[in-house]
Amino acid sequence: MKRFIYKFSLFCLLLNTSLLTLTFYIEAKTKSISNFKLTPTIHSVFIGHSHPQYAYNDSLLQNSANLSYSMDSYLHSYTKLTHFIQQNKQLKNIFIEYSNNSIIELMDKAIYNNNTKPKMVKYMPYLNSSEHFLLFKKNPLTYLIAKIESANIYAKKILENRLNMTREFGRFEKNSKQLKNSTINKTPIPKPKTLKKISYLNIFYLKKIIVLAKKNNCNIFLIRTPTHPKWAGREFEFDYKRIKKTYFPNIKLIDMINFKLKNEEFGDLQHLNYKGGIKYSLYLNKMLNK
Amino acid sequence: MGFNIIYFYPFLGLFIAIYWIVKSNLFQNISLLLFGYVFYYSLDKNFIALLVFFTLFTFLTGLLIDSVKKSNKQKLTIISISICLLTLLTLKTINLSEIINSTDIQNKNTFRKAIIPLGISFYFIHGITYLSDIYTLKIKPEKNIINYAIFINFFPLLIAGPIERANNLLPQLKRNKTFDYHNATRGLKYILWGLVQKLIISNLCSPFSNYILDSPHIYSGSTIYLAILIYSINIYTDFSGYSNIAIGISKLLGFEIQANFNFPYFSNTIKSFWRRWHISLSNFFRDYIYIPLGGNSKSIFYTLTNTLIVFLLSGIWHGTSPNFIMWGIYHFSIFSISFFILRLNWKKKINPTLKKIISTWLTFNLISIGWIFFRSNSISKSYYTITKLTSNTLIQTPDIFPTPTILAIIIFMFTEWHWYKKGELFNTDFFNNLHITIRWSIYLILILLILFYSTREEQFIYFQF
Repeated sequence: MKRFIYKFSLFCLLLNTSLLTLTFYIEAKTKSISNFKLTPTIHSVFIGHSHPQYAYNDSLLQNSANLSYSMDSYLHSYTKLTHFIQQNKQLKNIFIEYSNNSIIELMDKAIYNNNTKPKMVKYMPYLNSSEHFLLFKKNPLTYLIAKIESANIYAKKILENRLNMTREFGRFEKNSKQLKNSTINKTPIPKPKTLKKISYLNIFYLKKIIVLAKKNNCNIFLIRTPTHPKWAGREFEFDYKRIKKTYFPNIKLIDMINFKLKNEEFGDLQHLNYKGGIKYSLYLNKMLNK
Repeated sequence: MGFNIIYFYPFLGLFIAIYWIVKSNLFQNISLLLFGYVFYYSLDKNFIALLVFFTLFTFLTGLLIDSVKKSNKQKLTIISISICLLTLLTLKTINLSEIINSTDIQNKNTFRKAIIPLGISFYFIHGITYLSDIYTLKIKPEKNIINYAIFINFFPLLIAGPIERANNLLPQLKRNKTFDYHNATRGLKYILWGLVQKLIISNLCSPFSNYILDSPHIYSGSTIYLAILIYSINIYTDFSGYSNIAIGISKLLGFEIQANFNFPYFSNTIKSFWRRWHISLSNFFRDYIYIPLGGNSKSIFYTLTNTLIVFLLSGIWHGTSPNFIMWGIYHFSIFSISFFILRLNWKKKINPTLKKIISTWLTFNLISIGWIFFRSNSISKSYYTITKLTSNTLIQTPDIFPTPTILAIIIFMFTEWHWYKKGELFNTDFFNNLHITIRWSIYLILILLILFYSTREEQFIYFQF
């Protein structure tokens, strides 16, 4: 048995070394040849989760690109922003969604939960060593699986020369849903509540985004996309404002939560639909141009 | 968590390490049983109670058959086996009605998963052959419930075989097992080749063949022909892959299990194919149906009638829907034709090698056409596919030609040919004479390929039976 254990251990060691070398090579290669170049006229980007993804119709916003993606945490936003800033020196303004649900505990799960494996796979080659370490520490099994899957996917992309990532990590999404009257009727008006747990990890990455933007001489703005007055996330208004005041006192917040929209301009209580998107984007475009 | 999920293997490795560290036979058996139940529960938690109940039922019935008077033995055996067969048939028929009502493939799989207890056809056969063997005095009933429960629930074989006999497995459970280096390394090689078959070759083949054979109306005869040939490789690598993994795990645990496949697509007759395909099921039908019916000891008429019964039962074993029965009839037909052809004395002398190549290719094609019935969910669809296949579009260039898949199949078949001609898997003079660095590099490359291809989780085809 000793002979078997010795040979098997040696083989496993070789296998792991080869696997790691190969995945690291694929990740490094992907990182070095990925294209994040936006058109040179784009000076402003909007990043965040599904709220901005459905709200900012960048065909109506002058010189802007919406790079938001559903369920993106600030870790994801930070990772993609690093690459966009690196390859787009013309960027001047970064609008980052700071919504009531950006601080809730769920955002921790959006970073390292098992369900976020597809996101881990997608972002894997673009993460920095500290993020690799964090994800490995928080969810080692999912991280390792995602690492192998990611290497598989990106190896194919390298071979097929499909590494134009400009629109792969977020874009405006036309929301065709419509908020139902029955949902509005049965939903009570949110009452103020205190959050039991706050996602300090997500807040930490928002800070990193701000540092990154400033380091690259970009103006950074927090922005809150409109939501329906009955959206449950509004319950945590007190904590929302407290966190803003405590951690980001000098960053301007463009608060559009109460922007006037009709019920039919919402897809659900927290997302605009395409009609709301048009109305809001047109308004914002005017406002930003002033 | 099945054999096709790579994350199963670290758990398996941990289990095997504990299994061999503690040398007590009792502990090894208890751990085997518990791991088996956990394994089954992870795949199909809805029907674990059925597995436990079936184990208890056949265990107690076995003891009862042995203890009753000789005159009552036959009645009791017939009643108990009938109960098992009726339960099996009922559970499979319930599923059938759901499949017929569903046209959507995704739903069909969901229903199968929800209704048919996983591996039922395999562990029911274990129980039935056990009872039959007690009645025919081939074995004495097992008195240790743990050993018997492992026989029914031996996790490498539980879901899709090979179907093992009590007189082979039970004695192995009783003896003290010692770790054997060569057996263990052979086990690892079987697992490796099984994973190559399932996760690389089968997973490469299935998208193309499913895509074409799900919509035969869109494609030309030549494309359908190509898809059928690829499906033949798909089902072979899928099932043989599972069997090799099962045999490999058994070897790592110190068990010897009978082979389930012996390079069947290199057969040059239908008879030879059935001796090499799903061997454990063929042996079951031979020993428990064909020979008791008289086998080939009487006239040609009786031989063919017995063969027909076996092929029909083989079809029904896979499912009670008409397409499986048709698949059985089809195989009986080609078997009978080849039976008569082989009895003819060919006057013309044909080069033996050429004759072998032609007959092997012809056999492979005939078997492949049979898979149309096996794969379709209705006779009409099978009929339509065959009509389209035999239309004048057969001589066109295929609409789609999956070059990487074909290349992978050629390399794979060439390797299998090498194993077939020279010995067993990874055990040929050529392979063994390679320097260790080259051999290990081959293993490493294969494992890396498996890991890269394992991201598509596709269930084993035979899980539905």
